[in-house]
Amino acid sequence: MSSGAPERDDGLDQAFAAGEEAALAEAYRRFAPLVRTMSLRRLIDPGAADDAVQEVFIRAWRYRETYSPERSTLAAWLVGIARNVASTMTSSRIREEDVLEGAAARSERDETRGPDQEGVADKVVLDAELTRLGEPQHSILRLAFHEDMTHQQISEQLSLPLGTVKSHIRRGLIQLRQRLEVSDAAPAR
Amino acid sequence: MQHLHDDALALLALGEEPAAEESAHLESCEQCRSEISAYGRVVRAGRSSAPEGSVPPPAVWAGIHQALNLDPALRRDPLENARGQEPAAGAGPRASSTDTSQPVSLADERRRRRSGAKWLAAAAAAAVVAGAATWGVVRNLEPAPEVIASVPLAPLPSYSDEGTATVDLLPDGERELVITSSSADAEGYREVWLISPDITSMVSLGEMDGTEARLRIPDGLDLSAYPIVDISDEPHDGNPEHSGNSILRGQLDL
Repeated sequence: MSSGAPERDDGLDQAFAAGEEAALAEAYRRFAPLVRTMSLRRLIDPGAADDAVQEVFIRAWRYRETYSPERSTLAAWLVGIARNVASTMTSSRIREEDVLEGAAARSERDETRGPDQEGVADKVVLDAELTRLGEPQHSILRLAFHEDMTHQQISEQLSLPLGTVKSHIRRGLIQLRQRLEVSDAAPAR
Repeated sequence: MQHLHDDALALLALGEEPAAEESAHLESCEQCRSEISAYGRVVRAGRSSAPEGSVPPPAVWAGIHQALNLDPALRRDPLENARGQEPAAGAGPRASSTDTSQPVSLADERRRRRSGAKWLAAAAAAAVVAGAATWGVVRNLEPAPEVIASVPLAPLPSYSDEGTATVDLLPDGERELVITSSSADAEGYREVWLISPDITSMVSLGEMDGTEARLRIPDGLDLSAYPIVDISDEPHDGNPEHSGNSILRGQLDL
C-alpha cells in the first residue's frame, strides 16, 4: 500500500520545517524504517545502516532551515539526505578497504553490493508526492495506481467525465515524473 | 504522421489496452513508443508495493535524541510499538484516516492544514503526559470539525496584517468562527464582527485576544445575511458599536 506517508498531507512537513521536535519524532516513526531499508541495500552491513539512519535524522534536523515544504516533501528531502549519507559512507569505507585489501577486492565487492535502491527511494518519494496532489487528481491517480482501475472505471467511480479523468491522469503523471527527477538532484547536505 | 493523443499515451503507459489503430500506430512510431516509456519510472514507482521497512534498534533514536538534545518527553523510541510486529508494512501503524475515496474541497484542504498544527500541539502535550502518544493516535481521538466556509482576510489600508476566517461545524452542531491573524496589535483591543453585505447591520462575536480566536456563532444567525468577517480596533471607551476602524476583512462564500 503506502510507504511511510499517510494518504493525505497532514501538516507534518510544515511542522518539521517550523522546528517542532514532535514532528521530528513523527518523521522518524514514519520514515526511519524506509531510510534503513534504503541504507541497508546500499551499505549491506546492518550496523552501518543503523549509523546511516542516525546520521540522516541528525543532519535533517540540524539543517531543517534549508528544507522548504513548498519545494519538496519531507520524504523526498530525507531520501536525498540518505543518498548522500550512504554514498559518503560507501566511499570512505572503500578507501579504507582498498588500503587494507588492495584494489583486487574492489571488483568483487562491487558485485555483492546491494541492488539499486532507487526502487525504494522512488516509492517513498512518489507516495509522499501523491499526498500533495490536489483533487480530483489525487483520487484519480490513487485509483489508477493502487486499485489498478482503468480510466473508464475511475470515471464511473468518481462520477467525472472521461475526458477530465484522462487529462488528469496525464497531468498527474507528468507532475509526479518531474518530482521524481527533482528528487534525483539531492540536496546540498 | 498523426501521433497518438498525449492523454492516450499516458493511459497506455499505465497499461490500458490500446485500440487497434493505436497498436498499429505504435508498431511504426518510435516517437510515441518512447513517450510511453518515459512514464515507465513513475508508473513503476506508483504501482510497486511499499518496500518493507526495517525498524532500527532503540539505540538509533537514543543517539539522535541525545545528539540533538531533544525534549526529554520525546525520549521514548517513536518506533517502539512497531518493533516486535515485524515485518511491518511501511513505517509501523498507519497514521491516518481512510476517508480518502471522496474528492475533497478546497475548504477541506484548508481545514487539514489548520488542524495539522492543532493536533501537533495536542500531540506534544500528550507526549508530556503519557510519553507514548503519537500523532496519529491523538489526532484520531479528536473529531474533526466540518468546514462550512473559509476565506483569507485582507488588511485594510494602513494595515499589513494577514489572516484567515473559517466557519467550523462542530460535532455538537454548534458553529464556530476560527480567526487567525499575523499579529495582535491594536491601539485598544481587537473585536470580531460579522457584517451584512451592504454594511448596514453587524453582529459582534467578541474580543480577539492574541493571534487566534475561536468564537461561537449565535444559534439561528443566518450567516449568508452576515457574510463579511471584520476585525476592528476598538478603543476602551465603553461604546459597544463598531469603531469604524477595521484592520482585516474578508467575505465568506456561503
